[in-house]
Amino acid sequence: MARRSESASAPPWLIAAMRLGVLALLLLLWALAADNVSRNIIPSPLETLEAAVRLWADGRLPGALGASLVTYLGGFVLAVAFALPLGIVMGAFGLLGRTIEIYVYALAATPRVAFIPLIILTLGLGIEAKLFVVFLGAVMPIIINTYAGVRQADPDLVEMARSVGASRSRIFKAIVLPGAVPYVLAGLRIGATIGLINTVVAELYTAVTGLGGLLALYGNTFRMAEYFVIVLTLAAIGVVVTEVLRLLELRLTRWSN
Amino acid sequence: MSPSPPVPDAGDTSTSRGRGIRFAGVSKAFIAGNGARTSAVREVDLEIAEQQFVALIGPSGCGKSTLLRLADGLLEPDTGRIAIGDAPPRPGPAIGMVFQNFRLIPWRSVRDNVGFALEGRGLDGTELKQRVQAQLEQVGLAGWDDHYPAQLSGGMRQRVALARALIGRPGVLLMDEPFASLDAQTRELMQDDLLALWERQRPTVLFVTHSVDEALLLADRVIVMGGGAVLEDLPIHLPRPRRSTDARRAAEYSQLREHLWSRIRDLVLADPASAFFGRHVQADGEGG
Ligand SMILES: Nc1ncnc2c1ncn2[C@@H]1O[C@H](COP(=O)(O)OP(=O)(O)OP(=O)(O)O)[C@@H](O)[C@H]1O
Ligand SMILES: [Mg+2]
Repeated sequence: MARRSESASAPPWLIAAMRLGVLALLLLLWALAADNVSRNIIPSPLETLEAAVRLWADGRLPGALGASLVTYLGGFVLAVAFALPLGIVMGAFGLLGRTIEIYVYALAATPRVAFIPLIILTLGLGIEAKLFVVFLGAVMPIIINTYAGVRQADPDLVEMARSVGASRSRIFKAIVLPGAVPYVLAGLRIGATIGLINTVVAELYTAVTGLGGLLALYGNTFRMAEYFVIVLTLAAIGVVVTEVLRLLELRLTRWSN
Repeated sequence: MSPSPPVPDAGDTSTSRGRGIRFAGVSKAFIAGNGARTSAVREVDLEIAEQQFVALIGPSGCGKSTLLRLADGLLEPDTGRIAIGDAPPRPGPAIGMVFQNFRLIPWRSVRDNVGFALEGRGLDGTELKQRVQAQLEQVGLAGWDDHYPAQLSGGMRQRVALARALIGRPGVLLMDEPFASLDAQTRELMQDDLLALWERQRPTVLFVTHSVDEALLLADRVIVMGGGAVLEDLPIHLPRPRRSTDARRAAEYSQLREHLWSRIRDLVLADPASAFFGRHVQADGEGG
C-alpha cells in the first residue's frame, strides 16, 4: 500500500506530460515507418487523419461507432447484470458455488469463438447474436472474480463481526460484500477487455456491421488509411472504458490512501 | 437475537457493572483436515470475580486465545460449562473483545467502525452517533471520526478497537494481546489509559499477554497456562492505583517477576515444538 501511494505521488501534470511525450514519439516512429515502408502498407499520420475526417463527414464512422457501442455496452451490461448476482450467490452458498464452479471454469477455458456457429444457428445474424457473443466473453471473468472475492472474505473481520453479535446477513452486507469490491472491479476490467474483442469478433462473424465490419472491408480492399482509422477508434474505446473503470475503482477505494 | 443492551442517555460511556466469569471443566479440541486432534483447552476450572482484572500468560499455542473465544461465545466448549454472570456467553456488545491485530474495517471511517458494534439494535442514527462521539472522546480520539484506519497510527487503531469493544458498555472485557504490536512508548500510554478506565468503571477484564511486566502492572491475578491447562493462579497484591512508571518500584514486584519468568521459561523449554530453545539448551549442556 505504501508503494502504491509512492507512485501516486507523482503529480498528475507530470504524468500527463510524459504521456503526451510518448504519444509524440509514437507518431514520429509511425511517420518514419510510413516513409520507409511502402505507402500502400503503412499510411502516414496525415493521410490517416484525412481519412478519419472523410469517414466522419460521410457518416460512416459515426454510424459504425454507434452500432459497435450498442453491441459492446449492451452485451457488457447484460454480462454484469447476470454475473454479479450469480457470483455473489455462488460465494454466499458454498455448496452451490462448489457445484457450479467447475462448469464455469470449463466454459471460461473454452475459446468462445467455438460457439459462434451454434449462436448463429439459434439466434441468427442480428443484434441478438452479437449481444450474446459479447455477453459470453465478458461474463466469465466477472463471475469468477466476484465468486473469488466473496469467498475470500477476511476471516479475522468476520470473526470480529461475530463477536459484536452481528447477524449473518449483516456480516454479509457489511464485511463480505464490500471486501469483494476490488476483486469485482478486476473482473469488470478483464470482462470489458474481452467484451471489446468479442464485439469485433461478432461483427466479423455474424452480419458484418459496425467497426468490425469496416475493419474487414478496408482490410480486404487494402485501404490502409481508413483501416488505421478503425484500429485507432477501437483503441480509443478501450482507453476510455479502462479509464472509466479506473476512476470507479479510485472512488470505491478512497479509504485505502 | 441477542437482547439489545440497556440504552441510557447518549453521553454515558460507563460500562455496566463487571460480571463474574466461570469456567467449569471446560475442554476444547480442534480436529484438523487430516484428522489430527489438538487439545487447545483441557479441563479448565476458573472462577473470576466481578470486576477483577485477570492476566493470562503462557507460551505460544497453550490455548489462551481459545479460552478467550470460549468466554466470548465465539466457540462452544466440547465439555464443561461457561457462565458470564449466570448465563452462558453469547457474542454481542455486552462482552467486549479486543483482538491483537485491531480488526478494523478498512473501508469504514473511525465513526462507523466504532458504531458497527451497535448497528442493527434499533438505535436511531442520532443516538448512535452521539454514543460513538462520547466513546471516541473517552478513548482520546475526539475529532478523528471521519478518518479511515489506513490514516491512523497503530496506537490510534488500537484505541478505535478499544472504543468499539467499550461502546456496548460491556460488563466483561476480553483482550487478546491487545498491545503486543505497539511500540514501547505507545504501549505504556495505552496501559495507563486502560488502568484508569478500569479503575473508573471496573469491568471484569481477562487480558492475554506474553509480557510478565504487563501482567504484573495490570492484573489482580495472573494465571499461567501451559498445554491448554491452568498451571498456576497467582494473586498480585501490588498497591493500586498503579501506573507504568512506578509499578516496578514495589519490593514485591521483582520477586513476582522472577517467579513468573522462571515458570514460563520452564514451560517454553519443556515444549518439544520450541526448536530454538531446544538447541539453546543442548548447546549449554555440551558446554557445561
Ligand atoms: N480454529 C482452529 N483450528 C485448529 N486448531 C486451532 C484453531 N485455533 C487454535 N488451534 C490450535 O489450538 C492450540 C491453541 O491455540 P491458541 O490460539 O488458543 O493459542 P495461544 O495460547 O493463543 O497462542 P499464541 O500465544 O501464539 O496466540 C494451538 O495448537 C492451535 O494451533
Ligand atoms: Mg493467541
